[in-house]
Amino acid sequence: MKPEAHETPPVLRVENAGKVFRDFWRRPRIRAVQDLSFEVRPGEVFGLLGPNGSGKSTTLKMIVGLLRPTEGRLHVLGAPPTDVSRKARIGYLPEDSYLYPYLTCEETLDFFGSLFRLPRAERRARTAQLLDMIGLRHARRRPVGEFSKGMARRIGLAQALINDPDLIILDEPTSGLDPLGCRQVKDLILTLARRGKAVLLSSHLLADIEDVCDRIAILFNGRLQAIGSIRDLLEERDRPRVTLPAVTPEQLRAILAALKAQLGREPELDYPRRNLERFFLETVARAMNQDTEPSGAAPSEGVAPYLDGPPHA
Amino acid sequence: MRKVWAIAKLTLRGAMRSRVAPLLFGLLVAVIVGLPLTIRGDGTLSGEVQILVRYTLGLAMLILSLAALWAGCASVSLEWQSKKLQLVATKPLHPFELWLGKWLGLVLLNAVLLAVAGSVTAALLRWRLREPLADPARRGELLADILVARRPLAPEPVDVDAAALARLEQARGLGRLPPDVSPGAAFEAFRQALRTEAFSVAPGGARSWRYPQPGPLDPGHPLSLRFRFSCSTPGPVRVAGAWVVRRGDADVRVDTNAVATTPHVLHVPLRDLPQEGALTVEYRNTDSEAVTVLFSPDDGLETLARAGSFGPNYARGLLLLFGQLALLAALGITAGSLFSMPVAAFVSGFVLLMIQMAGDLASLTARPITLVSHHGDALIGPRAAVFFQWVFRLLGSVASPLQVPDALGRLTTGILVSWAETGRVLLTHGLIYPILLAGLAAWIMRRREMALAG
Repeated sequence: MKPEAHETPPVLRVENAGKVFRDFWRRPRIRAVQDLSFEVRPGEVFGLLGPNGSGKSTTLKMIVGLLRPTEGRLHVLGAPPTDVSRKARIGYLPEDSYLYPYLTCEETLDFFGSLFRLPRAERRARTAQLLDMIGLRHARRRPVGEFSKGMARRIGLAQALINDPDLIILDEPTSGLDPLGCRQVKDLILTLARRGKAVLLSSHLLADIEDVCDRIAILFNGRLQAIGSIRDLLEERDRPRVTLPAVTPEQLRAILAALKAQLGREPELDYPRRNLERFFLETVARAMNQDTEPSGAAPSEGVAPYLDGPPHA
Repeated sequence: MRKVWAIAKLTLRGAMRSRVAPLLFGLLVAVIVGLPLTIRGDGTLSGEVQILVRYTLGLAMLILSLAALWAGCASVSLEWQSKKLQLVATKPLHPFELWLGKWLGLVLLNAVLLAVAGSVTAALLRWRLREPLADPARRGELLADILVARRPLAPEPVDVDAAALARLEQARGLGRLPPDVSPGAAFEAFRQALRTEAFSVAPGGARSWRYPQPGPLDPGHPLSLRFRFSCSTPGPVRVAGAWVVRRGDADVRVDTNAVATTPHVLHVPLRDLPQEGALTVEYRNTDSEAVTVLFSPDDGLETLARAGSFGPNYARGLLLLFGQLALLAALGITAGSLFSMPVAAFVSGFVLLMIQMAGDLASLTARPITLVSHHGDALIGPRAAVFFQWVFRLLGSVASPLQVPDALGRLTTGILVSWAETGRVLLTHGLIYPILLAGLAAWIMRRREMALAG
C-alpha cells in the first residue's frame, strides 16, 4: 500500500457490524458476525482470514448487499451496500462462481458487461482482453457448464473485473485453481492494487494472503481476533536475519566466529532455498514451451490492458 | 434498457439451450397436426373447423399457458435457489429491471410459439378448405357462418323489475306470500316469471327485439339471426313462424318451419332496408296448431351483423390469447420472486383460479355472505358475513378487469373480436397488471436478503 493511501478516504468502512441469522419464527439461530470493524483504502489489499464458518463470506455478502447487517453500519464507496448505483464500481467473485452453465465464455462476459451498460464495442474489447488474461481465449465458445472448477473460477474472476471496478471483493479467489492460476491471480491482485484499486479478499490459504495482502484481519467465530499490516503482525523485530552475498567457506567461518564472539553464543546458520511454488512455475513454463495445444487454461498473456493502465491519482 | 434486454436475452438463451423452447415447439406442432387426425368430427366442414380452432388451438394454448406460468416461476425461483441470482444481484441492476427482463424474454418466447401455433393452424385450415376437396355449398355456408367476423347487436333490455315489485306488493296485500319465502326470493321468482312471459309467443302472437342503435350495417351482407326456442308441445316438433326485420318503413320477411330445441341460423338480406334508424326483429307465431313458442331471455335470439373477414378476426383472437400469456408470465415471475418452487407454482395457480372465478365472486358480493347449516342455522355472524362480502368484493374488483372474452369460442362461431376488446386486454394484461406485479415483486426483492436460501 502506498504511504499516501492512509490519507485518502476509505473505499469500505465496516463499523461494529454484526449478523444474526434467525429461524422462521424470528428467533436468533446463529450469530455469524459480531462487532466487526475495519476499513479498506484505495490501493490496499486487505485480507480476511479465518477457518471455515468464521464469518468471512457472511462479511463479504453484507458488503455487497446480499445480506443485511443486524448490527452496526457499512459504507461502501460512501453509500449503503444496497445502493444500486454504487454497485457499478464494485467487482465481486463469490465463493462459488454461480455462472449460467448454458452461456459460453464470451456470452458470460458480454452478459455481465451489459449489466454495467458498457457499449457493445467496449464489451467486446474487454471480453477479448480478459479471455487472454485468464488463458481461456481458445475456449471462448464453450459453454461454461462444461468447464472444470478451475476454469469456471477464472471466468468468475473475469466477470468480477469486466467493469474495471474500484473495489474488488474476492471470496476464496484461488479456490480450485492450479498453482499457475494462483500465481496469476496473485499477480493480478498486486497489479490492480498498484492502479489504486482496493482489494478485499477472503481466504483460508495463508500463503496466498501473505503474498498479496498489505493488511489482514483474522476472524474466529464471527469475532475479530487480530488486525493490522502483515509486517506488524508477523515481523519478529528481536530476531534480525542477515543475508550474505556469496562467500567462501573460510570467509563464512570467520564471520560466524566474529558473530559468536559478539553475541556470546552460536548463531544459527541456514541456506535459503527456492520455494515450491517458484520451482513448480519454472517447471510448467518449460513444459508449456514444448506443447502448444492446451486442453484447459492456456498461459495467461498478462493483465488485460484496460486493467493495466496508469495508476490512479 | 440495455440491462433489461441483457436479462431478456439471457432468459431466451436459457429457454433455447435448456431445450424447453424446442420441446414446446415440437409439442405444439405435434398437437396441432396430430389432434385433428385423432379426433373424429361430425363429418362437416364446420365440425373440422371447430376441432382445428377450438380444440387444437385450445390445447396448444393450454400447453403455452402452463409453460408460461411454470417458466415464469422457475426463471426467478430456481435461479434464486441455485444462487445464480446472487451474482446478478451484486451488479447495478434494480429488481424492477430484473423482473422486466425476465418478463420480456418470456413474452417474446410465448409470442413466437403462439405465432407458430396460430400460423400452423391457419395453414391447416386453408389447406382443408382448398378446392376441389371442399364441397362448394358447405364451403359457402362455412364462409358465411363461421369464417367471418360478425358483430352481435345489443337489444333494448327488457325491464321487468317494476312489474315484479308490483306483483310482490299485490301478493303481500292479498296475504298470498308463503311465510317461509323471503321477500327477496319472492321478488326474484316474480321477476323470472315475467321475463319468461316477455319472451314467450302465444299462437298467432308476435315478439319483438328492438335495436335502437344497430350501428352501420353493410347492405351487401345479410343479417344473421341465430335462434333457438322451445315450445309448449314436448319433443322436437316443427313450428311454423315468420321473422320480420324492419328498419324505417321497410321490412323483410322470412318464413320458417323450424324444429324446436335445435339451434338455427337464418340469413336476412339487408339490401332493401334503409341505412339508418332503429332496427326491429320480430318473430310471429303462425303455426296452425295452438303451440306457444318460448325463447330464452338470455340467448334465445342473437342478431349478428357482418363486421369483417375471418383473417383479421383470427389475428385479433391470437392477440387476445397473447395478452393472457403475457399476464400468466407476469404472474409466474412475481410468484417466483416471492416464493420458492413449487410453492410459487401453486400460488400462481391459485391466483389464476381466482381470476377465473372473478365473475362468480362479483355475484357473491351483491349481499352479505351467508352460510347456513342444513337445519337452517346461520354458521357465521352478521359481522363475519359483511367481512366476507367485502373480501369477495375486493377480490372481485381486482380480478374482474382480467376477465377475457372467449377468443376461441368467438372464432369458431364467427363472432367479432373487436379492436376495442383486444386493446383493453393488451392494456390490462400486457401493461397495467404486469407493471403492478413488477412493482410488487421489486418491492419485495429489495427487502429480501438474496443470500439466504430460497
